[in-house]
Amino acid sequence: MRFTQTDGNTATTLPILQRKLARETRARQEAEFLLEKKTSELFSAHCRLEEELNRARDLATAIETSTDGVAFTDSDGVFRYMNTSHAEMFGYDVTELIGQSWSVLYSDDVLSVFNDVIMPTFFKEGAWRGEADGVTKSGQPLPQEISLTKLPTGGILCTTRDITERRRRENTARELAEKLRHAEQQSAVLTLTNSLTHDFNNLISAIAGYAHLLHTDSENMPKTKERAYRIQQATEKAADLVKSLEERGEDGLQECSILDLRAVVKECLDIAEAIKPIGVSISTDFPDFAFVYCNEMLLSRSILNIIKNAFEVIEPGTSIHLRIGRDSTSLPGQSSCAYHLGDQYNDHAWVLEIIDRGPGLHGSQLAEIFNPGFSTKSRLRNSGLGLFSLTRLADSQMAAVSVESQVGYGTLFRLGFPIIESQGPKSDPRQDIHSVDVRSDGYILVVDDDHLVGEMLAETLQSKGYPSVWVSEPSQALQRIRENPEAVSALITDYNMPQMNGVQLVKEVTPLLERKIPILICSGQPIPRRLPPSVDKTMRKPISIAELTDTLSALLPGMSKSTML
Amino acid sequence: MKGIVYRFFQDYVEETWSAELVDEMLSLDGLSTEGAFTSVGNYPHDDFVQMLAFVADRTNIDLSQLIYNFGEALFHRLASAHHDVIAGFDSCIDLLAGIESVIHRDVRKIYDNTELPRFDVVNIQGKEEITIQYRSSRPFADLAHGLIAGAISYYGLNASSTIIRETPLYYKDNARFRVVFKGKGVKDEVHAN
Repeated sequence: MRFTQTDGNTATTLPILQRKLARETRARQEAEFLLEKKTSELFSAHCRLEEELNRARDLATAIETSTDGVAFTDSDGVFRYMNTSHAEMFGYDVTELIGQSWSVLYSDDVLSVFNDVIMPTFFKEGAWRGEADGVTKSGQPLPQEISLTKLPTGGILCTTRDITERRRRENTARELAEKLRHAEQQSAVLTLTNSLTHDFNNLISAIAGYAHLLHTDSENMPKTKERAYRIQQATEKAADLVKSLEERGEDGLQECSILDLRAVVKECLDIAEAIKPIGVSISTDFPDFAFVYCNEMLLSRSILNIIKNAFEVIEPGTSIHLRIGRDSTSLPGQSSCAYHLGDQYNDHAWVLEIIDRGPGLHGSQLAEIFNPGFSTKSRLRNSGLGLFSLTRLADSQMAAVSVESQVGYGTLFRLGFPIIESQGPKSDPRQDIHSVDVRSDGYILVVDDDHLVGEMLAETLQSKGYPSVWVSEPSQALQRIRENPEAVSALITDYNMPQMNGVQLVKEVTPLLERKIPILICSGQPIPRRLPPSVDKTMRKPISIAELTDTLSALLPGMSKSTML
Repeated sequence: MKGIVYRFFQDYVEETWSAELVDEMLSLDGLSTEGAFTSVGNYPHDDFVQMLAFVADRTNIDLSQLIYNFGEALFHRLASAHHDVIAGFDSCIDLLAGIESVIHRDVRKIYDNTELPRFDVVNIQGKEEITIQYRSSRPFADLAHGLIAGAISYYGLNASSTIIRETPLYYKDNARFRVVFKGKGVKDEVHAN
């Protein structure tokens, strides 16, 4: 310390020193207070920093382990950070991309989109979100969802998500939806074809039959005979055309194979996912395995149409349940109504049930829903419910079909699949023509709801020397047989009839007969594979008179034409 | 204003003149702490202005010159106390360029609520010339001038550099300094336009 007065005048310096001491003491106390305060602040700051650090570490871990790609660039667009997911998404190691421009991950075409569209928006808005295809290290396209955010440093924060799987699903859904549309069109054409060919076959049968009779009756009229022959030729060509049309419509619908029912249903659900209304849920209950013997196209079409119809009537918040099991369930309550299609089996290999919690159907509507063109609501398409395919399943005995419904609760569709017989195919009764003993005074009973065909058949058989009686309704046939079963020497029945089909009629008739008689089933449409053993032969319409007479000759050798009425 | 400046000013007055003058200065009425300043404290700059005016008056030195002189001495004291900070700069021009971006940044780390003057680099030409803009809410452009001069003398460049104060001298809270470093042998001079 330097003093101006160094004469040792303590009287002057002492008060100065005392004041200085007092000031320094106060300064020290204040310094201690400030230091204590600062220490406390520093400790608090330290704690805050530690918390921030932990949070930052958690965040870093979350980013690093995220399955989404996260990266940021500097203001020159050069990668400064990248998590592993981001690099691996493109097939790189992180170290390979750090220091590289983001543009290395895109093709020239995509970069031009970035330059022209994406980046101008990004710079204007400070962010951009969308989809763009990147390029992996191996040159493969990488569809990705991208989110870009402008950083305060001028860099870009980029988060990406590989949407390859999503794109694949979308494409699959599109393809499946296209298949569905195609199947619907095919189904509509098939329905129309079936209806037309059925009618045409009956008409052709009648024309051919009468032409045959005319030809037979015109022995002395060569011109008439020639003209009748030409009519026969023309009807044969027409029959071929109709047959060709039928075969085209039936293409692939007859062939059965062993199917994984679960896989078929799941594929239908995948297709249906694309048209599922918002708020509707689907639940499933499947066993570990369920194999059935059925036509895949027909089965898929049936399941899809049931689900689609359910989608159109159920409200958001409700559900559809699909169940595969060995046994059947029923709707709760007593007020439900039921309808069955085709044969119902006592034992099933598997049962598929589809239950929707829609408004339900009235009993009077149940039988109608399988008819082409039927609709329950204006909401539904005018093209009907598309459930005709279920009729085909039932008719061809691939599945027993039934439906239960309860107004206010919902509707249950049940497909019961018959047990697959493992002992190999039985001999086809249709090909097993064997002769039987017949009474010489009997007659052939012809059953056909089509008057033209029925009358023609009876008349033709008469002309060939076979006494015949035609009835138009199965109930009339049953009545005749009940009254005098012995008089019926053979039964020729149509398959498609309003009251009951030909197979059902045969099942009703068989117990009434006291002996085996030849039984033939004729149809303009495909006839089920599984037939009662009493059926001797099936014939497709239009019926060939020659084939019919040959068959009868083989089946009824004892029925001598000379002894006939 | 940082207490360390007050402490250094007390030392400067005592070393330059006397302990009695310091005693008188610290006994002035109106000082916020009754003259008890600690280097870790923060005090109203009016206290500093009052003390400067008192010393200028008692020693009959122009106030601006007093502040300039103190600024020059202050730099040496700060450099001595924070040698490690100064060692981080390669040259005087680097240091002047880094007042705002390095030194003040570090000061703010310790004193987060500190109101510091700004020393923005307006122009820099290699190692030869730098222009700095001083801005402050306090009228201490002369102190900034002295600090720059202190930096130059710290690096031993008095003879080869020139400080040109491009703004009028009466601009106390806003001044622009252009510092030109020349080859050795050029006479050291401090200009004020």
